Amino acid sequence: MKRRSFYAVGFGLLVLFDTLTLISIKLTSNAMGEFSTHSAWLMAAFHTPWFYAALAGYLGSFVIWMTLLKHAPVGAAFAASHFAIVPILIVSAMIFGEHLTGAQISGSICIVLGIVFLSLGESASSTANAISANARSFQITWVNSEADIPPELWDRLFPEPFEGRWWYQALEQCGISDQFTFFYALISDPSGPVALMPAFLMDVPIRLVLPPFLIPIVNLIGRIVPSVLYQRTFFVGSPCSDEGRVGVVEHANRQEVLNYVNSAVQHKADLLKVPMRVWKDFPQSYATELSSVPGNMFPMISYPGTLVSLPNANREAYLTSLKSRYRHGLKKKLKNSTAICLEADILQRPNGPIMDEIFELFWKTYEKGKTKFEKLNRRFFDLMASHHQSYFVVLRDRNTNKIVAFMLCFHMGKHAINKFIGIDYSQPKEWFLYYRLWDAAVQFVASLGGESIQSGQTGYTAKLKLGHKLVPLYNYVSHKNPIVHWIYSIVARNISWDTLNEDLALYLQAHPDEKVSCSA
Amino acid sequence: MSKTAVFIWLSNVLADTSGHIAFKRAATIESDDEWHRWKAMLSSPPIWIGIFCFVLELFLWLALVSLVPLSLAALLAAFNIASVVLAAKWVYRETISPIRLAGIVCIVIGVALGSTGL
Repeated sequence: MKRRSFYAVGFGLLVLFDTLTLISIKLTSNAMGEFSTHSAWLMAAFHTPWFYAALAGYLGSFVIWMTLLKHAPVGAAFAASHFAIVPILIVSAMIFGEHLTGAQISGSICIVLGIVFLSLGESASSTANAISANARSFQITWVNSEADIPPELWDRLFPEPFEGRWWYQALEQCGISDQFTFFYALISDPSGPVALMPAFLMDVPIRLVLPPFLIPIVNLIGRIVPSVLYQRTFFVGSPCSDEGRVGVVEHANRQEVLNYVNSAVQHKADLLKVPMRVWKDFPQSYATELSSVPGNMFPMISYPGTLVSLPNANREAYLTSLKSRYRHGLKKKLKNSTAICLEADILQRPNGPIMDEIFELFWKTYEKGKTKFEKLNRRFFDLMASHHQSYFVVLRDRNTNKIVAFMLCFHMGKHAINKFIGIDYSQPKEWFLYYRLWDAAVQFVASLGGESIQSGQTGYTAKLKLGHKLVPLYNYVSHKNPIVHWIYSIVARNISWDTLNEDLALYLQAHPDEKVSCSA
Repeated sequence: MSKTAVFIWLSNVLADTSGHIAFKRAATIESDDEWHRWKAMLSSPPIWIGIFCFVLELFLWLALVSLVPLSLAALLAAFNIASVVLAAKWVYRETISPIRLAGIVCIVIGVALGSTGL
């Protein structure tokens, strides 16, 4: 039997048995004669068959109730177990000829409404109980440093190509604690660790999320009440990873773990008095689970990631895979700029003066960017450069020997992450520095056997022309204040790729089929 | 509605609510396996208090429906739903969410409306 028909038959039978029980009780009492406090009146019950019918009705209801409870949602079962009031009123009017007054009918409507409310409340509390039942087997430990998590656990739960321990170490050690406070949650069950979740606390400038027309108004209010300019937020994820991740061991039930993690995050945020919680930039692979996590989170589309594939780790195959006009465009740009005395180079662990040059270029590009979520510093770059998987793809002007562009790539097996970029915008446009740099990066990644490059959440126009695919990412948001939560959820529904970024808006006008809404 | 009927109705509310509270107390008994849990439950006073309450309730029902129409008895019985929720809050510190509270208020209004003029 299908689940839906099972419920329908079960609930129907329950209401039927409850009704029959009450009718039998009424028929028993009719047979017993006028009520009296004498024992003879009571004993008369045992001499009427309806009394036994009532007992059988009780037993039947009990069996059906227990069977339903095992399979059906508590809320619905609870409502069904009291819903018999409706057929009883009908039966009492039709069979026993009782007169139903308007007040009685209104009263019964009120009661039914009350039962509906109670069953809704029952559903909510049973979900909460289910979580706390699971929660009993989980244990959470919050720590403030990546060093407090065993390295082997980092390797196991954040394996390549995900940014692992080294990444969080650099973020912690580079001295950006004025922007972020880092947290790590280690979730265990009796068998041992089951999940690792990086998180951070940040005062998010409200201008990053507001529609542009509201920014001047909020800035004006901010002069009087500075706190409105920032929204203190507890994030799950990393400040500058493209994708959010909670590392979960294979044998664990991911939904249960994520449910538990979310309730733990809520608790932690409450302790820290942080009203807003966001699971930052989680990919589609989490969509089903995060949408099912109890706790009233709504999805909000984020800046998409960008990913390009290098078939067979081969530059030529990559070029062939590009749309013909993009391929011709790229080849033309590369050809036109070959006369320029530029030299591509790959650097690992560059020395101090070179790092100065690189950081200067990064800073120029950062200043030019529109979306500034994090503000990284020189120390961060030094730490990144010291990692054995970091490679700087640089372009040098042969005449001056100065670096005019760089791209930092992390080599992760068959995958590479192209994370930070710096370009000397004072150089002539015909140098096509970005495209030259990209070509050098493709050649380098291909030479290491890399088959894909992840390129970050900015500069979409150029990346789309270079064959990148957009990777949908979602934020899952919750605010403690129900009114603010409601307003944000409405705002979130109206956010799409084209409202987030002008480049994307233009691209989607030409490719409407690639549009992704917030149907996470 | 006669004073006797009111008394029987209130006794019914008391018996039903006490029965549910007692059953809940019995059901929270924990043991290594289901067999031992049932054994422990059946040898604990709460389950017998619960059974006594429900048997008593059956006879109170018989008395009530012999005094008032079945339709009115059914409406009055809905009050038990609200009383059990309130008693659970009082005895087991169960939380009453706003939506549950709305449910209780509706039921109480419904019972009050249903029994007016009788």
